Amino acid sequence: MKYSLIPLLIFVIPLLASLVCMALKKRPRWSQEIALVTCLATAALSLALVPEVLRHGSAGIDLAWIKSFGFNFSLLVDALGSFTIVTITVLMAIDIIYARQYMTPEEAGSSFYGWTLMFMAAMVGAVAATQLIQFYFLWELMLIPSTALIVYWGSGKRPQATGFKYFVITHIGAALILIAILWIITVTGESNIYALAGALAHLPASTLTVLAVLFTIGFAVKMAIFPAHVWLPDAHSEAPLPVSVMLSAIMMNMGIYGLIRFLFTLFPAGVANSLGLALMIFALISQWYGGLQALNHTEMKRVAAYSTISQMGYVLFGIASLSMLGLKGSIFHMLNHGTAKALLFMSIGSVIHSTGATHLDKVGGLAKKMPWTALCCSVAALALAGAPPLGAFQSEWIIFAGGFSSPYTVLAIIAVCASVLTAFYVLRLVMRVFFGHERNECGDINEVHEAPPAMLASMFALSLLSLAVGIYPDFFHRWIEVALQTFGLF
Amino acid sequence: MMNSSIYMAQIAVPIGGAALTLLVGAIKPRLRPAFAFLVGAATACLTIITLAGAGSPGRFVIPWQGVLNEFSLSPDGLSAYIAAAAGVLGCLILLYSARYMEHEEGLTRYYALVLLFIGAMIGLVTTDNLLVMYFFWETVGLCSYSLIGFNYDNPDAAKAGLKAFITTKIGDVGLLTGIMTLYVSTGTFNIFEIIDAAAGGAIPAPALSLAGFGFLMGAAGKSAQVPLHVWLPDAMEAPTSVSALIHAATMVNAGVYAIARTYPLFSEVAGWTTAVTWVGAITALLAACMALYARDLKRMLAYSTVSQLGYMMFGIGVGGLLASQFHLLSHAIFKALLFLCAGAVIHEVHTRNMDEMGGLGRKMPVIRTCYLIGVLALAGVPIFNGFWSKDMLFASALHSGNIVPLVFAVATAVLTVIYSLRSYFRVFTGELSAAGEKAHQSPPSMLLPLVLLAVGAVTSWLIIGIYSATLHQTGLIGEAISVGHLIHETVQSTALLLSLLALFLGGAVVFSTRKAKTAAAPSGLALWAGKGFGFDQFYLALLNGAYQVAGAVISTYDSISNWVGKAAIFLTVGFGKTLRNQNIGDLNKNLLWLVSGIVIIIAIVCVKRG
Repeated sequence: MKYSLIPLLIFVIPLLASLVCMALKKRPRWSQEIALVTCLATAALSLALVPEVLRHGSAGIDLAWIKSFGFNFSLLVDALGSFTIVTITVLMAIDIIYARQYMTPEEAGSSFYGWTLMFMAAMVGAVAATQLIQFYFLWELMLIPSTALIVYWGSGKRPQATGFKYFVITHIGAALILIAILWIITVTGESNIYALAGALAHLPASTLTVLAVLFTIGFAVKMAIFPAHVWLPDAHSEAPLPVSVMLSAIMMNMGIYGLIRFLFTLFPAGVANSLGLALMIFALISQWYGGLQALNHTEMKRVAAYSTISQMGYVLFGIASLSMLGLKGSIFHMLNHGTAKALLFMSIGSVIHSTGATHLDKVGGLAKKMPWTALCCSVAALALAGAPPLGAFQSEWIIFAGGFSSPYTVLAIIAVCASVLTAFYVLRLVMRVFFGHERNECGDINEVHEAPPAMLASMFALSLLSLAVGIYPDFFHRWIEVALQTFGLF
Repeated sequence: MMNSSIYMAQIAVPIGGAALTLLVGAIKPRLRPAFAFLVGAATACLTIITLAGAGSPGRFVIPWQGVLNEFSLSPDGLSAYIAAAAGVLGCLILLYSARYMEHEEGLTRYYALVLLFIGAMIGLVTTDNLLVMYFFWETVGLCSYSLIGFNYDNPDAAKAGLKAFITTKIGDVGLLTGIMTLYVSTGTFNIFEIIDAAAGGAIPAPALSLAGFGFLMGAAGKSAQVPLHVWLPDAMEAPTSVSALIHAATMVNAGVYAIARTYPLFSEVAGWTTAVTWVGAITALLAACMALYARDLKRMLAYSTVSQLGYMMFGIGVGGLLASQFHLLSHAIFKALLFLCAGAVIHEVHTRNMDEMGGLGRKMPVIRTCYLIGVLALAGVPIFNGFWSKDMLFASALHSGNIVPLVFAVATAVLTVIYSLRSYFRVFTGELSAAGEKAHQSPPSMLLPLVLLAVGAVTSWLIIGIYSATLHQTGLIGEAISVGHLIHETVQSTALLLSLLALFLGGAVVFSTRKAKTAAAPSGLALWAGKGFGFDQFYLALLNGAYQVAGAVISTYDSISNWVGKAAIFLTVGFGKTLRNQNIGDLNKNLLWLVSGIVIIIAIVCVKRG
């Protein structure tokens, strides 16, 4: 481990900034600026950490915490961690820029930015955590600001009920993780995630399997894998748009990170093998269920929300293939799905912002009035559909290659077939909203205008990111390869 | 061996040009057509220069995806000619577009996409890496989606674009399955290494067979073979220049190319060549029937493309690689010619319905001549390029003894003669229609590409010597043939009789029914054929059915899970209420519970001890 302050900074800076924002109750404009600067700084710092991590394998810092229990507050970022953190912080920064114009500072209020920053700090902290208890603490900390954001700024009929459902169901997942964590600590006495592999190897196989199942279910709830998906459609579609982006494009990565980290860093290879087939089947069900639901709904945000369930199916499929390729694709898909999904939500957001319509059958032919939004939405849709030269193409084929290198060729073919469904529902959304005759049943079509500059700028940034990753993915591949070397399982 | 960076240049120039078009569109919109044409011309030159070194290619390689994969280009005889067709025809189509599209909106998008389309097609064929091929394969699909839906405010065009994308994507499931199966069993994406590995027996037979049929499925999607042909006729919603691009220069050639490229790999797979032959033969015949009864000029040409692509597949299936690829080149030239002529006509008469045209020959003499040349090439009249390649196809089928598919192919040839000549008579001869009153001759910049293509349709077969020599050098065919050899072979072969028979029969039908201006009411079969044999309706019904079933399953599941959730909440809340009733602050009750708890614990401990 290379000694580095950055992991601490990217955790502490947003946390402190969040408290400052909360304190500046009367000055939402200031909070807005603070949030922007903090997010940009965090993103820049997490990018600055990448070369360090790639050179030394990992970077971090060790601090004493609850000494009497022997817990240290130590942060460590390896290649997998830095990939996740960069995805989180970069998307968050772009999202904050978008939020500036989507909600006026008065609408948002200081606390919106306070909760957002705390949310980010918790995510970054959980990724960098090295102690099990520390991880769990930050994992739960993530839940509080996100619930607050859904409850206080939600747009549905009963945001409290939605927030409650979100809290309780994801909490069930967290409870399973807690059980597993406490079990491990009591049995082995070791609580450092990176040192556990040796300690766990001595446990009987049956115990290991139960532990692995607990972790898997716990993280699968966060990934909204069928049948634990029930919290997602409401939460993601009724949250205010910038929060939908945070949940769908950013927070989902935590589930993926957790699953990969715990399943492959902690357990010997045999344990994961026994879960492979079951996970693959649930992945396929999620993929198809999410896709069919997305096709079935007309509320735009809900289509995007169900699409997230389907995309998490792709990711889980890659992980469940238990091959180097599949794992690689899944890790890569964190970034690519995040980018594409953020872009999709944002372009839906600018349609809502401009027309007031939330359902795709209420509008049509908007491409003339909002050409750039139409372009960005098409980019998002095509990226999700796995079309080159966009980023998600690169991760999807690797996921599928992973599927084909598992013994279950038939399942892999079913997974590939789902990509047709994906293409169908996303392109249908684009066609219904942007093509055909111009109309807006929720307002005057002549008053429909292109999205304001900051919103467009963040959408362009995402489009370019997706394009750049798709055309020349070499750098990201090397990054993820370093991450996979630390597992050395297959 | 030439400097391999030229291989990169022939992709980088059009794709970079596409990006620059956006810039030009923002600064000086007037210059867009000229700029795009210049880029197209540069690309055409590069592809022609590449042809010279195609026999012994170098290799352009850059790292692309870490250790998984590299971005490599290595055009050989097979691919360099298809790339050249894309480059040269693309350039002519860009020249034609300058006037044809001048009054349209969104020209920046148009030119950028056309250039990207050309670049992606060149990339698709010139790479020797299956993953890079798939990358460009999908990019081509993306371009076709955007260009077919170019007039996005027309709901039909938007739908046609989506249909093209989804239908070809269904084929791509097969292709991706094939590529991944090959990759997983050999650890490489390089097609030549894979072929070597397969020859060494490294790929298990089931995997090879899965891959083979997967590739066939992908090719059927891209090259519009039955049953995945349904997107191509609808794709005529695109501007006619785009149709020419899709039907002649790019897209549809990709599938045929992929099958030709992998022929050495899969030819030993049980049933594979038979499947390719039959898919081709059936497609050729069915599409020819559909073309016979189409009233829409562009739709007729579209069905004709499907039918001719069927020929090419059929050719590969019967082992006539040279014949098939040679027909691909002939077809590219005469089909581009036909579409561009049709575009010029539609541009003037503002209808696509052939019944509303007629007598246009007097108004547009050059177009008339060009169209006639295209039709004669399509019908396979001697000395036109289509004749030679079609004859070679028949000869290959005879040689390999595939008699029944050959009957299909000859029947197709008869129908082709009928529909193509008829369309010529309906559009250009007879009385001048009302729609044609105001028709003018097209401007020179539209005529020039037509004339060049017409010359090509008459003379392109003369390159057979160089072409076959290059293919031979690449190791794809046994021996090269010269022009003299070709003429000699053709005149002596039995296949010539079949070609002439088809011409005679078709011609007889056309000329005997020509006078009967109003033909008898079309029979039920004819109507059915005109509607594309109900493939669309069938798929729609199938999709609807699947959608209904999936919807029913999901809603059942949702209501069950809803019910379970409610039950869980009810139980939890009920339990909470019960619990609350226990903690009402009544000291006696609390004490009772406390004591009984202690008693139970003691009891358990005692039992355990005992």
